[in-house]
Amino acid sequence: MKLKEKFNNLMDQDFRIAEKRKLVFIIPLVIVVVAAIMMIVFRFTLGSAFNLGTDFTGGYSVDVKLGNKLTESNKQVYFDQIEEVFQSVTGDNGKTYKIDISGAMQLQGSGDTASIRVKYAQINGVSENEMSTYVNPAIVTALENKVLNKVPNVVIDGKVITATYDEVINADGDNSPFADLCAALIKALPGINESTNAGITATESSITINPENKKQVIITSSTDVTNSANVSRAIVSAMNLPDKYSGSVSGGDMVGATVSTELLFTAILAVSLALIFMLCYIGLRFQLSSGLACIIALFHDLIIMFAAMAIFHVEINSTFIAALITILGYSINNSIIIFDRVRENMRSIYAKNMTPEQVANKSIKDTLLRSINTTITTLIMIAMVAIIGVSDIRIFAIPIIIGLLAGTYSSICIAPSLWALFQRVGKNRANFNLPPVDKNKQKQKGPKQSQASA
Amino acid sequence: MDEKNSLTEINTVSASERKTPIAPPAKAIKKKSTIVKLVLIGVAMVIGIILAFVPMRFGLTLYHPFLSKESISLGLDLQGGVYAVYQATNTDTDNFDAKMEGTKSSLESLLSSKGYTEATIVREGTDRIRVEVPDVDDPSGILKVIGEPTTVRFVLDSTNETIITGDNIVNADSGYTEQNGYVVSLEFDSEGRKKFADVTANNQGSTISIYLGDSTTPIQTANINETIPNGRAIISGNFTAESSRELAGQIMSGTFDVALELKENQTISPTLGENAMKYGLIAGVVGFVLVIAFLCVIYRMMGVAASLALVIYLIIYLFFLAVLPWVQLTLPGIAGILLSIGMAVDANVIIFERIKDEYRGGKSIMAAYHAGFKKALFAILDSNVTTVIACVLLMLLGTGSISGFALTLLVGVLISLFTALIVSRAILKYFINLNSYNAKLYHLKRGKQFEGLDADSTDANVLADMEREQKEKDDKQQEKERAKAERRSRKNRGGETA
Repeated sequence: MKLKEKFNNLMDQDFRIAEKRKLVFIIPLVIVVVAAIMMIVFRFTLGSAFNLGTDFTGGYSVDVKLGNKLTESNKQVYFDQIEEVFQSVTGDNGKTYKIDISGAMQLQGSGDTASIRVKYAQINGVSENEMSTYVNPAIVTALENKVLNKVPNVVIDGKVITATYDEVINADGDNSPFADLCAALIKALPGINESTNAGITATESSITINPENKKQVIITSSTDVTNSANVSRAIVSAMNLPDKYSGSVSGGDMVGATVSTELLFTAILAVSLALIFMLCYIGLRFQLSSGLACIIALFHDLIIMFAAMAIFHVEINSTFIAALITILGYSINNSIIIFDRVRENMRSIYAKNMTPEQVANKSIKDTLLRSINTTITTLIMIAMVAIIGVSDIRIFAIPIIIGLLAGTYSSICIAPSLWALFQRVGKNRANFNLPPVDKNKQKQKGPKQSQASA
Repeated sequence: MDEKNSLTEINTVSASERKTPIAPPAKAIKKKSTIVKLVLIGVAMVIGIILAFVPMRFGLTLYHPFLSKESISLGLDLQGGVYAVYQATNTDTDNFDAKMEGTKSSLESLLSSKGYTEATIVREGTDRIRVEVPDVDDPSGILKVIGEPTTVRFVLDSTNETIITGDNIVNADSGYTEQNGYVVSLEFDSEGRKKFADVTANNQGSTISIYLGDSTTPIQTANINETIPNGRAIISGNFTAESSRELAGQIMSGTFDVALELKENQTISPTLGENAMKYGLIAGVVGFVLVIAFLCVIYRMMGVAASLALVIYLIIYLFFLAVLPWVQLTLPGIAGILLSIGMAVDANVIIFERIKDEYRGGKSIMAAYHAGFKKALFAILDSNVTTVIACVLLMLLGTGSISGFALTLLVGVLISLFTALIVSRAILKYFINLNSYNAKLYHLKRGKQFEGLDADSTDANVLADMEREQKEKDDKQQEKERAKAERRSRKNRGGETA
């Protein structure tokens, strides 16, 4: 109730927004300056002013083809493993790189031909040459070692350890996966014994493939093996079978930008033309000065969106273009509703007795409830998307929320005060109660009395 | 329905209490017809909701509602699709890089002309092009769309001379003419135009064959029937809609600057999958309910009218998404639609604030309603026209996903205009017809000067005014018709005498 009363009191008072030009323009200016500073800071610390995604810059891609069948359940395990690999990659030059995966990993093909496609951008401060000679091969090797492993299911029963794989283990010849596995095991077992006290006494001759089920490798120890979680985990990791034999990692190739320069160019062309047409339309239906104020307010909103992306260094991808277009449509609406009131208030006979600021203020006041209510309903919808939606949809929602708030601000504060400013110039002065232009540049004062229309 | 009946009752009591029952006699009849109209709108809405959201089975045929994967085509991120990697066969040519770029944009325009506006085309390495096409399940589907890019040449059979190559072809498209049925129409550049004009002038009656790549069997052989000087040729024959499209596609794929061969093609799983859709839907439902609650609290019955209109907006929007083939729903698209719901409320809010103003200024509810809609009309039209301008330009000039997104926005704006200016106007009018004296129902308040004024004190005047206006309109219309009829009869008479 209290809030309501306060609000009613506020609505009874005269507004003074259009006069406070300095304050109104300083707020966005501060944001832009902060953004500029942050851009400079990011330029020198991270290497790029904007965090442009591979949609714009292009980058590299790696295809991880798996020997195992990719299923809904093991998909996430692979995704996590790949992510882990990218977190720290050590190249042949001894340097360790941290690489951000761009966008979502893509699943290709199905069944036996399934593969995972990962895209990543060139690391800031690392040359193209360094990427192709050190980083990309390192990524491929690291992925081969880490991700392409077949993980067995291990059962310990007395002296016998049985490891069951998803697939038949090839044991033909000296270079077969099984031979590699034996060699690796003989190497690893003493270490396991030492750390876990398992008591495995296996030699090469007691590691065999189950002749009835060739998916099973059986290790026979001469003494009982301790059956504990610790031991079986150690054995599982020692028996990870490299999947190089059936899977493969390929790539480290350059990929171009999905958003081509041509697309960007036509988009900019379309937007510029749209702005010109809108200016003409508003100029015809309202005044040219209203049109200019609308367009400037619109630019303000778009610039604020860019500024926010720069300040928080959020990745800009192609969905950001969609967000800009949405705000383009939305923001112009807001300003026009206010100028519609201005148009109406100008028709009233009292306009002649008012200053442009007073007309602007009255129009702001008349449309304030509408501005607030519309912003609330729109914010409700998009905020739900930001709160409930998955992370990818959130990336889209956040610039929109910023654009909405900027749009509300610019339509209430910037557009009307700009309009009032324009009215003080040129022929338009005659429409208002303004003293003739004073060449001594004395401060102008509005008329003392202005009757509000009943 | 109970609520409405009780409203009627209250009215009869209060009307008898008041001293001057100024309501015209037509009002009682109007009430009945109003209820009938409201019931009709309700029924239409229920049917709409069922059509939009409920899958049904009629015998063996399954009905897919507007909001289902089967009806709305989904983008790469939601539905997956197919990809193909093409490799350039000849990398030793001059300006290879520029030619690859040219090929890439040719592929882009080819795909978007086939309706795959959401397709992405990316260069990989130096000599490969990767194409991703959404909403196609079958890996070989992509081949149907772009064919296997290769070279194309038109050979005059009598002399075995190549007259036209892919470089000379500007466009190939399938079309339909009255005389020839389905045809493939060709457009040549200036060089091709000249050559083709010469050849067709001198070799009438002989045949031209079209070859793809190094193949020695032509994909099509056509008779030269007449001289074609303007660079626009038509191949006619026993084409069906599909075969003409296929041939046009094959010829177009031969116009690429670089010869390509297919390296691999596979399906792509959606990157977002079920979860994104599910949570998007939940966000939508929760937001929708909150918006409706907000409207009903702030504007009461007016809010109810707006909410009903909003439901109708949603149904119509989903219908268009399902019907329009160029609309492909992607993740930003979903967010855009949800946002448009918030924006669609805007027009209603503008109108309701106006009605509040008018009521505050001393008008009756009915009069405030009429004045409110009238005064808000131009504000709403002007603001939406500017949005439409932006959308149309982005649609026409923008490429790929941008034009698709602009179309989604445009559809939303146009529908919201319809629902706000027509649907919610009608529903609100019916509400006021049922109860035009209880300002609290509409959350309307008098200004200080008019605190004592009854909510419907001037309704009789308003209705009389409206009746008069209607009558004047009718009279004018009749006058016009009479004048027209007179003119016509005079003309006829004139004709007879002449």
